[in-house]
Amino acid sequence: MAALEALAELPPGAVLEVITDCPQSVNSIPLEAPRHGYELLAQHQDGPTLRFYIRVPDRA
Amino acid sequence: MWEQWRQRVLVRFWAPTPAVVAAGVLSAYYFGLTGTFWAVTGEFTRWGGHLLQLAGLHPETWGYFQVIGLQGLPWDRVDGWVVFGMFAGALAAALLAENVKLRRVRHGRRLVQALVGGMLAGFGARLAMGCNLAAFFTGIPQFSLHAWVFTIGTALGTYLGVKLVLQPWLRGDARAERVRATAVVGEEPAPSRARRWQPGLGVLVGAGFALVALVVATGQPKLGIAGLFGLAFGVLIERGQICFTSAFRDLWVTGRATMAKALVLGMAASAIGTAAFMQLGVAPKVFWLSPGAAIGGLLFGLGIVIAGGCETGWMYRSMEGQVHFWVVGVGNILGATLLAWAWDALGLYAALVAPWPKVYLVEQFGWLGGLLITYGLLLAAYLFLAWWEARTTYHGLQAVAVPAPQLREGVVHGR
Repeated sequence: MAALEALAELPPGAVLEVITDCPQSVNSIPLEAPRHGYELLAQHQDGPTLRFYIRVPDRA
Repeated sequence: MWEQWRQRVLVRFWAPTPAVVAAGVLSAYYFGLTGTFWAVTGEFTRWGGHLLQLAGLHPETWGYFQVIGLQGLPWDRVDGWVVFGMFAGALAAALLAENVKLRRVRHGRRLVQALVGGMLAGFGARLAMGCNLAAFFTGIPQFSLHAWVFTIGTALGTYLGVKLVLQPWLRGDARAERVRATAVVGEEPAPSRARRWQPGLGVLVGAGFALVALVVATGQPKLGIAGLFGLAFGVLIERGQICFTSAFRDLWVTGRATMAKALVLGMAASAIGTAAFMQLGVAPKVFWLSPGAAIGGLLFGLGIVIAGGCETGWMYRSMEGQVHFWVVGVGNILGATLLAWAWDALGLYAALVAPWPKVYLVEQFGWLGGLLITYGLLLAAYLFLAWWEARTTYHGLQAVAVPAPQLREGVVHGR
């Protein structure tokens, strides 16, 4: 939810980096980003830390 | 080559749907081999009973423990061994992925939430004779109608829970910061070396428990088998991050139905196998179609959203080191034990449960009828979920269909 709310305030072309140690995020963020119109660029997992990079698409 | 396999299987999380379906299939075999269904809260209630016995009380005389039994100690029981196995499997899986880390809570109020939610969930689950497993995931494949009532109660309870936890005074406070970063998004950072001892310990825990279970199986087959199945269940729920709470809750928060649909598929995979074993003579576990199931479901649903996780969730998350869920677990056991006391002491059994029938769909409608009804309801549920997901987003904004990002070499890494 925090990621979606942050993304809603970002301009087109901006990239949000989400850093979390919550493993549950792998089942939410990669699915919710495209569902709400954003592009998941990359997902990294380093031990307990997960990073997601989500881009706000350019205005159509 | 090995490293690629290790990353794909041991490190990166598994897609939840196959993991849930595998758990469903295993549940059917588990029922056939042990004579009971995959369940945890009954055993947690017994643990509460043992603590009371240590304190000098005699809960084994209580009505509730007459129903669920309180003989021996956890390692004498099938239910005990499956729970041990689940802890071992979840811990081993988390260690193998270097995912064990002490995850502290940021605000004390979360611990209060964990305790209150855990107690509500434990109490509600035992009122309905089971939690997300015995009254839902493994309850529906038992063809007991009370499980469907519990499910509806849980759906309603989670809805109310969402309304509550989205209140401003309960929300989290994660904030975005603007940074001028020049990281190349596609590059994997060098892996940290801090947790490199974990996978070795994971192998020890997993293999060690499997060995113990095998040894036990030579003398007491059902206990050993329960341990091995528990190990598998623990691995599946941890690797797939299977979250029953999310399955219900996220329908109401963002409309996402992935986990819910996976659970429907898992139950579909399980039901026919369970039916086959019943036909061969394994006795079904059917409970009262009662207000207890409905109210229990409601309290359970409310509790799991407040707590952020349910009975299986706290088990694997506590093994990952999430302190919040240690407290949820304690709350679960407390709530379940409280219900065991209140069952007679507050007349809950007499008022909410006893006068009601146990409805076994096979008895009422025959094998074909029971199977058709069950699969019909599962199909209806799946269609509802697909429709719901398509029309719902966070804050009710219309979902925008965006094609999956193109996987370009060196840019998108993931599962």
